[in-house]
Formats: sequence, structure tokens, C-alpha cells
Amino acid sequence: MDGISRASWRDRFWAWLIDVLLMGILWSSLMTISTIGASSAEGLGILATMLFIYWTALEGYRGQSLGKMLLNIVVVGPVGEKIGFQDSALESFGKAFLLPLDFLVGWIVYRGSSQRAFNRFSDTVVADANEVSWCRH
Amino acid sequence: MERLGAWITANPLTIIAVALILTVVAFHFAQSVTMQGMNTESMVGKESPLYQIYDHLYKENFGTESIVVMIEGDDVASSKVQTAMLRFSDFVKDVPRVLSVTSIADIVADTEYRDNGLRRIPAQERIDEILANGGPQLQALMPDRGHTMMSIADPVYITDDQRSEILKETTEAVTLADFPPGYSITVTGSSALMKSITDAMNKSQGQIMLLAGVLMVFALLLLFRHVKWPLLPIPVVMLGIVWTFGAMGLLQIPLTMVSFSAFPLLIGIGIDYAIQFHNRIDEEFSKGVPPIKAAINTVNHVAIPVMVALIITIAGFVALLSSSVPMIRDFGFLCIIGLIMCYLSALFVGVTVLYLGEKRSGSRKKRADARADARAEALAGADGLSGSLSGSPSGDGGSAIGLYVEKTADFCIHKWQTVLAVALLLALMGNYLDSLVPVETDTKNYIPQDLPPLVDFRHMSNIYGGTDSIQFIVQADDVTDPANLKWMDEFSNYLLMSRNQVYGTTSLVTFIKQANGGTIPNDKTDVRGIIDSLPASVKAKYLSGHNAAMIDVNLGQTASNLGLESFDRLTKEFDKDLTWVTPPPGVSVKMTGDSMVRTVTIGALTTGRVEMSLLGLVLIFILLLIIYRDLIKALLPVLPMLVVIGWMGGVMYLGGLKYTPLTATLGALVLGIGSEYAILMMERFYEELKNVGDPFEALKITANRIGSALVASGMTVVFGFGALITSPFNITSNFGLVTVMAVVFALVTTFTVFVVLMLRMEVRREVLDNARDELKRALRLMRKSDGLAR
Repeated sequence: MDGISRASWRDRFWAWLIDVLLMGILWSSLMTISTIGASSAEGLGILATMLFIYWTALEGYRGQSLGKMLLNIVVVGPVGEKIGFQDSALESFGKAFLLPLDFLVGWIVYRGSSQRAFNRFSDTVVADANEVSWCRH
Repeated sequence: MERLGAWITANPLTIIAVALILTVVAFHFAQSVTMQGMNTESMVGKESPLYQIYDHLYKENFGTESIVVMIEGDDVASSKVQTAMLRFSDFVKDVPRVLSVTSIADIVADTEYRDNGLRRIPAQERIDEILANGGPQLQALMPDRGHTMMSIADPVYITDDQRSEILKETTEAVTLADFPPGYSITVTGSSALMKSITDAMNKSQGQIMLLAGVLMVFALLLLFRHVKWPLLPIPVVMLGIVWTFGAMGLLQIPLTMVSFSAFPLLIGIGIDYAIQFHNRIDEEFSKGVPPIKAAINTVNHVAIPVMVALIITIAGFVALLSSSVPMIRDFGFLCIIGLIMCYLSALFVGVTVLYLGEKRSGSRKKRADARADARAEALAGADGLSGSLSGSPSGDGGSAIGLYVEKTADFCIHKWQTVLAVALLLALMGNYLDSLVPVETDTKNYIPQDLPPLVDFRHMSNIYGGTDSIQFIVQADDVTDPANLKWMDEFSNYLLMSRNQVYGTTSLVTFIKQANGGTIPNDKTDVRGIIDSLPASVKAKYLSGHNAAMIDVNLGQTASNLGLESFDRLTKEFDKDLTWVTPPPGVSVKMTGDSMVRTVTIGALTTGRVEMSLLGLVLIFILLLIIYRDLIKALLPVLPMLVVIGWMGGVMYLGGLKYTPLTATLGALVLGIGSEYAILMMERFYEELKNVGDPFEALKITANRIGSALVASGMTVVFGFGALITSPFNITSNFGLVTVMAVVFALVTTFTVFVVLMLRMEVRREVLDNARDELKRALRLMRKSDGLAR
């Protein structure tokens, strides 16, 4: 695990931002069609659910969402192995529904590990894609 | 494709001859293209219940159009004015296809005839006496002694030309009637207004088209001057448009207000096809490649990428075929046909003309020979075209615009995170703001607000309280049954009492009560007797046989003022009212009318745009996935389009624009133009990547080479459609602005967001692919050396 170069918080932030904005655009179109208020609890719940499904699907499938592809970072297991949909769903749950808490707990409690709380729970890390052998080949 | 290129160069005269024959045939069929206004057929599917009720039940039985003549002066009830009005009425009644004329003079003369046997205008005392007992109809025609109006009814099914003829005769009759001096006579009403709008539109359209043509020529001369014959793309695309018109006539696709907006789009995308072929063949000529080889290379390298762009663009328009509005379906169909025509014109005619032109002059070949010789050594061992592209982009045929595009792309690549985040953030905000953009349902707001006939129309609406209305069609075995009439009366009163938006109701009951001292007789025979004595114009308007009657609910200016959603809510409230005041058994009631159909259909035209855009994007993505079998290549063109759609929503909101039937096609416009630019850029990038191997270098060459062609085609559309912004018609002006912004945004995202995505997604993959190839080569070498050692 120590051999894998962890992605910086900066890269992870940009990847997260790109993902959120992309899904946000689709979400706002859906809100227009369904006439649900964007700022309503229902609307925000739909956004969080969309993000959860998106991250679970893409990161479970190839370890990378679109944002992560652009930043060349990848979600992997402790020794750089591929993660499954179960791990992906668990680590995505935190950033889709409980991000502030997830990040703060990770930052304070697991300082130095570059992991959010739900990364820790799912035993996953975000690494530089060039460092991950299955991603390279 | 090389064989197709060879065939084109071998058969130039055949191609020109076939193009000429096609053009003649297209002109022939184009003559049968029909103009269709904003009528029900173009807005509602014939199979839909809305159409069935409106057209078959309402229009066929009760539908009439009216020309209104408004008379204003000191005393419109004076005998002199009444005499002139009667003269006017008698003259107009003889005009073919006029159903009836309703006026206070007719009421007075008819009453006089009934009482004294002479149809004439009596003395002033008698006029005042008749008018004093006039009832609600008179109140509607003469709200005060200073104003009155005459209504000339004609059937809804007559042609626009026949209606224009009635309008002309009416205007002449005003002069012949010889109204006393000091009285103002105004011919107005929906028919008159529509005629004036059409005339004014045709007049301004010619000037705008001329200006658009001049500006497009100017743009090409300014931005595409680095090629020989820079204006050629215009006739090439126009040829495609002529063929499209021919196809429209052949397939009987009508020209509607929405399908009209397909032409700017076709010119915008079609000119890009022509420019892509032109730019590439000129690039080949500049390198000193012989004309025949240049033409073959051009077809070989451009025909497939442009065809992919064409297929993808068509996929975007296929979504429009799912619309419930025939006008939108026609628009989508027309775009698909038009794009294919423009592609064929650019591929066959454009390339052939350029090939023949270069072959005859041959001057650049000679000039380029010297350069080619000097380069020969550098290119030794390389394979024709691919080798020639491996030099520095800026030093080899690059234009100033190309260099600028290259620098922009370079800047964006360096600041890619910021560029992407800002673009996506603006798109997200724009998408949200788009949901706040209102829809313009009042067609009167599409036209210049100072247009004299509109001023007259508004003046009339202010005096008479507007002309918006909703009709309830009552059907029963016998609607004249007193029980049914009593329900009609009860329902009308309920609407009047409970709804502020209802200014008045008129039905057969109104006239029966008027003739029977304010009550409905209980006996069916008495009712029939009263109905028989009513004027034919009243019976024709409110009763059809004995099984259908109409309740006309006057809403003043409600439909125009309320807006789409509120008006829709009001109609739903009317539906609830029908549940509350339940019709007697055996009686069915249906709601219809112009305002309702117009609101529903304009709503359908404009509110389905988000669904159609998303469906278009999904179709484009699926098709790209099938064509390229590569997730990245399939995603790349889709993401920038998502950004442009969002930005356009923001522009619509911040610019205070409203959605109209023309701007409702905005999504298709963005998908069409955006996918075109992105795919051409992507195809060229992969072509150059194959040639040079380095993604950064390939991107620089692509941005430089294709950038100038894309800017030239984009700016030609911008200049051309910039002319539309000068139109005095809001609908055309807004459409021009929206088209210009869509093209500018499509260009901007292609050179910024798309470039960033393409490079970021591809760099890693290409580098890894190259590394893998290197590894394979190294392994092969190792095996070889092992073999040699043994």
C-alpha cells in the first residue's frame, strides 16, 4: 500500500468538481422536465442519488469517473488492485450524501492517509493512475 | 474513398451535367412547395383529440373569422352614421364568401323591417328607441355613443388569398359608404392584422436576405481569403438548398414558420461542409500536389469525417421526429434531407469545380514545384501526404486565424482545470436559468409593436375588452331541449360569477332569453319557435342542427396576458367547473377555441425542447459509440454540446429573450452545429496523431489547419445571421441573435473545452499505446537478436 503514490487532495478536488458539474448539468435538465424545484429537498436528494449511481457505476467498472479520467487518478484497493461495485458503492455513498462529514472525519481522524472516512470504511485509496499496473495496461 | 475520389476526377462533366439536371428538376418540384401559416394542421397532429375537437367539431360547425370595422366619432348612433353603416353593410354582404355582417345599423334596419315592413334607417327617435331595447348584443357592438364596430364574418376554411380579397373589398366599401366627416373608420381584426403582418414580413424579409448575403460574402472574403475562390462555398451550399426545396415539393413538406428556420441551420452547417472540402483541397494545391492527386486526397481524407459529422448531426435531428407537433417533425425531416443534399453538393460539385479550376489554371502547381523540390529530401521515404504533415504547423500553410486558434488551444491546455471548471459552472448556471425563460404565447408580440395595424388592433381591444375567447361545444340528441338550455344558462352564469377572467358569455340561450323577456320557455315548441325567428347569422354561429351548440366565453385579453402556464391552469379550472356544474344526462361538453389550441400547441412547441435536446444527445452518443466503438471518442463531442446548451439557456435568460416557435429549435441548432465542429476537429486530430505520433503536436496542427476553416464557416453564419438581428420583427430578430450566439459558443467550446477534453482523454491513452508499441518493437528486436545469436 505504501508503494502506491496517493493522488493529491487538489487533484481529487478538481476531479470531484468536474463530476459534480457534469452531473449537475444533467440534473438541472431533469429538474426542468420534471418541474421539481432545484433547491427543494427532493431536488437535492435526486442530485445526490444521481451522483451516487454515477460514481458507483464508473468507479466500480474501471476505477475512474470522467473527472478522475481527466485528472489521471484512480480509485483502487489497498495494494493497488481493482475495486468491485460493493466497495465502490460504499466509498461513493460518503461523497454523494455526506461529503462534509466524510471529508472532515477523514482529514482529522485519518490525517496523513489521504483518505475520506468512507475510503477508510471501504478500504480504498485514490492513486495516481500511472502508478497502478492494471490501469497502465 | 480513394476510388470515389478517382471517379470524381474521371467524370467531372458527368457530375456537372447531373447536378444541372437535378437543379432543373428541383426548380420544377420547388414550385409545388406550399406555404402553411400557424394553422391547426401544422401545430397539432390530425389524430390528436385536440385537433379532432377543434377542427371537426368547432371549426366545421361554428368556426368563422371576422374582419372588424371600428367607427369612432361624436355620435355613432346618429342617423347619418347609421345610413352610411347600412350602405357599407349591404355592399359587403354581396362580396363572395362573406357569411354575415353584424352591426347596430343592421339591428336597427332589421327591427324596422320586422315592425314596419321597410328595411331602412328610421328617424333619430326611432333609432334611439330600438337601440334602447337592444340587449347584450348591442352592448357588445356599441359600448358607448362614441364607439361602435361592424363584424364581417367569413368561413375559416377559405384560403388566405380569398380572405385578402374580402379585406380589399371591405376597405373599398368604407370609401363607397361615404361616412360623414369627423368620424374615424378603422379596418382591423385578426384577419386584417395577419394580412398586414404577412405583407410587412415579406417586405422586410427581402431586405434582410440581401443584407445577409452581402455580409456572408464579406465574411468569406475576410476570413477565407487564403484560399482560391473563397466565395465558392456560397453557391455550393445554395445548390444544396435548391435541391432541398425540390425534395420538399416532391415529398409535399409544407413551408411553415418553423421549417423556415431550417434554412439558416442548413446554410450554417452546409457551408461548413463546402468549406471543409474547399480548405483541404486548397491545402493540397498549396503543397504543390497535382490537381488529380489533390482531389483524390481530399475525398479520401475529408469525405468520411464529414460523413460521420453528417450522420451524427442527423442523429440529433432524429429526436425532433418524436415531437407531437407536425411543424417540428417537418423541421426535423427537412433538416435531415437538407444536410444530405448539402453534403452531396459539397462532395461532388464543390470538389469537381475546384479540381477543374485548378487543372485549367495549373499555376500553383508550377509555383509549388520549386518548394516541393526543396522539400523532397526532407520527405524522402515518407508516404505522400502523411509525410508532408509532419512539419511545423505554423510554417506550413497556416493562416493568421489558424495561428490564433492554435494559441487559444495552447492557452486552454495550460489552464485546463480552470477552463473546464468555468465552462461547466457557467453551463450549470445557464441550465438552471433556462428553466426560468418564459414562453411567448401571444403571437402579436412577435411583430413590431408600432406596426399601425397592431396599434389599431390593440386600440380595438382596449375599447371592446379584448378578443380572447374559449368555446364550449355542447352536444346532445337535442340541445334545444329546455332542460339543456337551462343548464347552458346555469353554467354560463356560474363562469361569469366565479371567474374574474370571464368578461361575458354568449350562446343561443342569450338570444332566446332576449326574445322571451329574460327567461327560457319551458315548452320545447316555444323554444323552437324563438330559434326559428332568430337571425340566420346568430343560428349559424351558435347552433349546428339540433345536436350541437356553442357557448362563447369572452376572456378579454386573458390568454395574451396570463402566459402559458397560467392560461393552462385556467383551462383546468374550467374543466373542474364542468364537474361542479354537471351537464344533464346525455349531454357532453368539450372545451376548444383558438386561444386554447394556440396556447397548447405553442406550449408543445417550446416546452418539449429539453427532452428533445437530451434525446438528441443520447442518440448522438449511441451512434458515436457504434461508429468508433470507443467510449472516449463517443463522449468527446457530446460534452461540449452539453456546455453550449447550458450557455445558451443563460443567454436566453440574461438577454430577456423568450422562447418562440423559432427559438424552440435552438437545441437542434446547437446539436447540429456543435457536433459538426467537434467531429471534424476530432477526426482531423486523429488523422494528424496518426501522422505525427505526438498528441500535442497533432493538436497544434489540427487547431491551426482546421481551426481557420471552422472559424471561416462559423463567422460566415454569424455575419449572415447577424443580419436577422436588424429585423423589426421580434421573432426573427431573436432567432438571429440566438443563431449567432449558438454558432459563436459552438466555436468557442470547440477550441477550448473540446480541445482540453480531447487532449486530456487522449494524451494518456496515446502515450501508453506508444509505450506498448515501443515495448512490442523492443521484444521483437530482442527475439530477432536471440535468433541471430543462436
